[in-house]
Amino acid sequence: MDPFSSLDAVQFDLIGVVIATIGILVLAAMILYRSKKSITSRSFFFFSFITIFWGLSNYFLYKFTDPADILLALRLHIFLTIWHAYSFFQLAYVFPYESKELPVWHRYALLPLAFFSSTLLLIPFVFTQVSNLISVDEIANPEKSQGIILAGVVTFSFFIAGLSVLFRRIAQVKGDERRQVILMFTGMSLTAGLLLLFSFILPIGFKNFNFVPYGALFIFPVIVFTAYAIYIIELLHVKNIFAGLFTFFLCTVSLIELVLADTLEQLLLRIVVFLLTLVIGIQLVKNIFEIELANEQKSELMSFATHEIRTPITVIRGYATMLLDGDRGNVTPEIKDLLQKIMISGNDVITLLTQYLDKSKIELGQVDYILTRFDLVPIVNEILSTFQIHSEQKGLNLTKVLDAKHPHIIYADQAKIKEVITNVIDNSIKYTPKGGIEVSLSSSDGYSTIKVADTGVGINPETIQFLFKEFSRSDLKKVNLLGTGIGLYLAKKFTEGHKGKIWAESEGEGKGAQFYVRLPEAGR
Amino acid sequence: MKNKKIMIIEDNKDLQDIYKHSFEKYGYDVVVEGNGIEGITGVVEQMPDVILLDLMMPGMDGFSFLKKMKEVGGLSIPVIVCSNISDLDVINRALKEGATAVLLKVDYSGKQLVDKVTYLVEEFHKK
Repeated sequence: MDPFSSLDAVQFDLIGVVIATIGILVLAAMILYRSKKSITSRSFFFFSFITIFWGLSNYFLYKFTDPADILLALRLHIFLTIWHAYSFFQLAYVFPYESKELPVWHRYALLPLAFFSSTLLLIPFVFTQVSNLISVDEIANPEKSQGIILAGVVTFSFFIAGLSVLFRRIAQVKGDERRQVILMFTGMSLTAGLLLLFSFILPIGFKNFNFVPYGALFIFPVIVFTAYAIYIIELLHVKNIFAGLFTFFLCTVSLIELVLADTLEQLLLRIVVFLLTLVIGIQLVKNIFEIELANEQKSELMSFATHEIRTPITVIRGYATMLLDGDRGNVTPEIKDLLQKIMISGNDVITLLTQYLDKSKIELGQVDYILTRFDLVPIVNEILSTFQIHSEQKGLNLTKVLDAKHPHIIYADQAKIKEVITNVIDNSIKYTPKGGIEVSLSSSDGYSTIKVADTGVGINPETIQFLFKEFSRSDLKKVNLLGTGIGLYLAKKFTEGHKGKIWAESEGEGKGAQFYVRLPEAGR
Repeated sequence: MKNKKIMIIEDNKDLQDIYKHSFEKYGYDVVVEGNGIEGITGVVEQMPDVILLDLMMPGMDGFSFLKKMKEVGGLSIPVIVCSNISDLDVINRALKEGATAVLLKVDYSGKQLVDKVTYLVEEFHKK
């Protein structure tokens, strides 16, 4: 038995169309919530919106049996087909830009063309009447007039224009943009192929109309590919995809339940359940997007504030360095001492700013690593030179055991490794009231190890477990530590981010401490 | 031996003074420009050996300057971006537009900056 001719088939194709409709609706809502001001998001929403109605009219067209209903659905379908092709062209034209003006000829030629031709087709200009039905009461055979040529030409022109805009753009743009355009082009090609095969070749060439009602499903590839392409710019987070998929899944399940209802009571109950699922689901996706947007705004504000504060500090340090170097005349020891204190405070502000920025990035899951091959020796030297003044001020002896001839090449994010080493040395200086700090580099088993040994206050076994954790204020009181406690926490996060290890050793209070940062060396 | 010539494109007057002083102290000839447009004109007239470029500037910013340099084929001169923005996107964008390296301003002062720039220029010519 042909499954498509049975009652089950009716539900089967309805479910297919409904799944596509919900999927398109969820994707369109996600994209729009994500970036309401973007012209691409708005055009995508418009395209999706028309697609949904186009899919539904396509379905009902082949489900109505009354010739008058069919005629109405047919006219509406042709009307939507033109707007569908037009919205595709509009999306292709602005894709994937955040803002792009549509050309003047669009306003004075294309838009009126779409408007007048589609309106014209609503009246008995294309389809005068539906006289008989073919293919087992399913497919209408309408009587056509010249209007069909107009509909065909306009639709085809918009479609080809959209494709050629995309095709041209592939050649023009590079990098991520190119990838996005290729994705959309691929999606559209798949959709076009499916529509051509199932809605054109099979019905006309082989008189097989079974797949025609599934039109909305065939539009799915272009929607999914385009949505994914838009998301590439928007830095899609996994939780958004899950929220979207979860909503989609719940809505689909409750809709299948609805379709399979046996009694009116059941149907009403399931309609309520379905609508609630849809509304709550969309609200869930919206909320997740809003939270994420707020987080991003917080992160942007943090970056902006950091940049704004760094500049005056750079100036303060620049002038202080100039004076310390004696470039504006001799400096008395007393003035030198004050200048050094200015430098140290400047450094502290920068360290704190960087640490808070990093912490905020970790919380938002926005930590990225720019990996390059580099030698640790000059990096350690550079860091030590920045601590020279600080250690002098405290009367500490800052020494190094580095073999400049033996490089320690690692493949890592240089800025983050600098932060790790800086934070560890900074911590040692903070907790070493007298004596000194020795920084050494060694290599074994394919790992480079930076050791920072101090003669400081030492660490008791109770405290050592808290050292690399993010402290709360109560923790700080418990272990009687000063400072924010973020430095070593970040050092651990970044070291582990490089598949390395960081740890501390101490024989107890008053006996100094040794910190180790172990990083894998780059393969030769 | 002839001094190396550095062009500093920076809108902050204090930083202009500080950088000019540091590079002159360690043997560079220094040309200072206040934004990208002045920088582009200056590059043609002065033919510097290296350019130290800020990103956020009024008029033409650092990115537009890099783009323009690429268009006029001027990237045989190393351009070292020196900015206080540490965002990965910004760094990547600057490198994509042809910057030789990206430095965080606040990390360097005085001789440190001069040494770093000298090292980067040497590395650039080794390639």
